[in-house]
Amino acid sequence: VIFGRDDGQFVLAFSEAESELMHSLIVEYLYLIGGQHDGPLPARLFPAGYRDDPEAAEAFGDATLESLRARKIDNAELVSTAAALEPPIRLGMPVVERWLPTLTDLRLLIAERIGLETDGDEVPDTDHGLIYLWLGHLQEAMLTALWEEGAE
Amino acid sequence: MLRVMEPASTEDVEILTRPDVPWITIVWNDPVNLMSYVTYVFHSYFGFARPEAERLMLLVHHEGRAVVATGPREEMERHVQAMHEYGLWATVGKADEG
Repeated sequence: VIFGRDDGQFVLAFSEAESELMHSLIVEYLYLIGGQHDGPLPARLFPAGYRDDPEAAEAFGDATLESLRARKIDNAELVSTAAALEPPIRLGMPVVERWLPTLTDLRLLIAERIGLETDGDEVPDTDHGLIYLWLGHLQEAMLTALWEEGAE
Repeated sequence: MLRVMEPASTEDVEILTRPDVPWITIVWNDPVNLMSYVTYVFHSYFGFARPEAERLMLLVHHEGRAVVATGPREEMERHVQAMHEYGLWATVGKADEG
């Protein structure tokens, strides 16, 4: 896989397997946050806005949950659309910035699944562990490109 | 007939009795978010120069949390919602708990 910056854009050369992986991650993500299933929303993606005040936290959640969910869905759909393109995929920097929160949410969900709870926890050598690292590598490359672009 | 005006909520009372204590936005550490991403969020959203964004990120990392903004409650709630959009763990608090 090649991630890199070229002429003010971020270039992604996903393999077929990587495109499929990204697609399936987004499908599962949209299922979890989209409200089509009965389970609770992932708490880490929709955290309480107040730590020691349940009433204020509930009011905050009532006021913000739908717009937060809509924003997350918008970003994920943008990622999904781009990831389905024929590689190499060229992304403008404003689009890259909208990939970052989705990549973060995907990593947060996988982290729960593989039991990363504190800073010292090791990423297991499993499929989920490798996907977690791959997403982090992609996000780091995007951040590097944004800094470099901003510095010019 | 006279009616006794009741405060709208206990929070209003708290604001009235502690007018000098502002609200804060706290960002909490987590084992997932990349240090470079947290720095980017502080720079991009709050407009901190990169060294200040990095200082705050390291504060979150080492101390477990950092106060990244102070001001009116509504503004702090907007910041916290924005942090949740970025996938950072943030809460609204009072300055005397920061």
